[in-house]
Amino acid sequence: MLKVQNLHKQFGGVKAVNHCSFEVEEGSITGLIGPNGAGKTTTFDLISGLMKPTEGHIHIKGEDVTTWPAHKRARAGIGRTFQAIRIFPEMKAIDNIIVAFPKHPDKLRDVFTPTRKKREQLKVKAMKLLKDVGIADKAHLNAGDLSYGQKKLLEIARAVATGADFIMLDEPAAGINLTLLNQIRDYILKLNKEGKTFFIVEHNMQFIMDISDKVVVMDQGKEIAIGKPEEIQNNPRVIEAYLGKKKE
Amino acid sequence: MFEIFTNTNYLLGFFNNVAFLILLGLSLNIIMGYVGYLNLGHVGFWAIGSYTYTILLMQGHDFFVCLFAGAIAAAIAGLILGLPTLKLRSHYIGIASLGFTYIVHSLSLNLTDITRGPLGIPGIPRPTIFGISFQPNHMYFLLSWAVTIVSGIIIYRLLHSPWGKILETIREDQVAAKTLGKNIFLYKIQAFIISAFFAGIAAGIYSSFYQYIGGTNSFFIPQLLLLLTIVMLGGAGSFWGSVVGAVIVWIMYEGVRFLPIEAGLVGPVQQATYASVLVLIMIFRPRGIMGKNVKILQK
Repeated sequence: MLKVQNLHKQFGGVKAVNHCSFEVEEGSITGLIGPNGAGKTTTFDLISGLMKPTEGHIHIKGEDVTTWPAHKRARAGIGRTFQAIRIFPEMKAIDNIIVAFPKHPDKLRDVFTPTRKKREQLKVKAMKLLKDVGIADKAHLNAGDLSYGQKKLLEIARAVATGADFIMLDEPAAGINLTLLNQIRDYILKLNKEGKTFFIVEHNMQFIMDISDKVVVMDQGKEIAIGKPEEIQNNPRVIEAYLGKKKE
Repeated sequence: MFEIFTNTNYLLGFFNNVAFLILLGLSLNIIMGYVGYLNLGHVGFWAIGSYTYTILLMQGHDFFVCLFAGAIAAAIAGLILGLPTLKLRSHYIGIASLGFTYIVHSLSLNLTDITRGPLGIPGIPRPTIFGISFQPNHMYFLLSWAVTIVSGIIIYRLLHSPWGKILETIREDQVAAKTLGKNIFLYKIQAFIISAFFAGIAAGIYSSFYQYIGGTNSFFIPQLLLLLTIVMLGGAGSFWGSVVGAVIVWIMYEGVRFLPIEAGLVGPVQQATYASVLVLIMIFRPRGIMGKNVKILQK
């Protein structure tokens, strides 16, 4: 599904991502972990096209998308959420979802053609998505007035609404209680069963080890270990990156 | 003093002003309230529309041709200003577009062969359409409101369409909008062109209403502040906000005439009034009367 080759991103002298390579298999849930500043979010930004890499290549579904702008990659099926939630706060929750549908008739030439029927259908679809994440009763509130957890659910639902089959979640478990965390996990597993591939950055180890088929560990911009969760947990380089090196 | 309210010509003049100010406010609101970009170049579009309309009209062309030509000229200016700047962030667009206003102002004063420079262009006729003269104030009132209402309906339809919703996502969070697959640069350019187009339409009805355009104090900072006050007082991001804003601002503007002050002070006090309102709005109620919270304008 995703193949990252020799990816490199330099800000001045800082190598945020340093010749990093890994793959995400279709249909999998892949975790991306690493200490703060390891380059995880930069990697996400490079994959979704919000930043251009200094070097290296990104392949999605076999196609080299390295030079594609963000919106083109999104249309090719890459969806994502953000570490600092990015919803549309002054728009209704339901409109946050509706605008994300690829069939949303939002071309300028659509303005003076009848789209009422299509819009009604999208409303129904959006309500269903909101119901799936359990915030259907908040559909007509401004998204900015939702609670933190509800905003997170809304953002995930919005990524799903784009029709993406490859969804990147940046810290979905951060700052939410256990009940909500379980709800998010169940939702991810349900979508995964329906065929969506997930790539998840997370600091909550229990959550990520529990949900992932495979984990990529980054440190100082480079992948230092790739493997099944149980392999990763016992990998000395990973332990070192997280806990520091034992003094000899 | 109050007999003025029974003076039909005064009232017609009042509502003629309100008509083109509503349209200028609505068109600026597309950029400021919906796309969420600070655009200080709107007066430049207004000026370009006015000169194009006036010059063509005085050559004897048909009213609707002139009105449309003025709008197209403004729209082209919108494209020219938009293409290089719309990749920038809002603050930088603000500065670049202010430069644009200054350039247009400067050209209007110095291209004396076309604009007559500081003398301005007097004697702009009011049109005759299908043999009906719109010269009298009450007839022109009907024409300017017809143009404003038709334009307003089109703008309303645009802003409340799915296309308009995407403009709002740009205002709310353009990074997120990109990751939803929206080519936001395209939307921004379209919005800029449409906004400038309707500024050009408003410019046409403005020019034939006053029957004079130009002069050293026209199409510059005072007019810019007037438009900003209309949008921000009514509320950026609200269609009806701009309508209400235009009405209230013009009531205040005209209200100054009734203050017991020297005649020579009326102009400066009028300008100080709406400029102060703008400052107060930005401090105490940045949403205006009924607008949205436009992040970029407030950070």
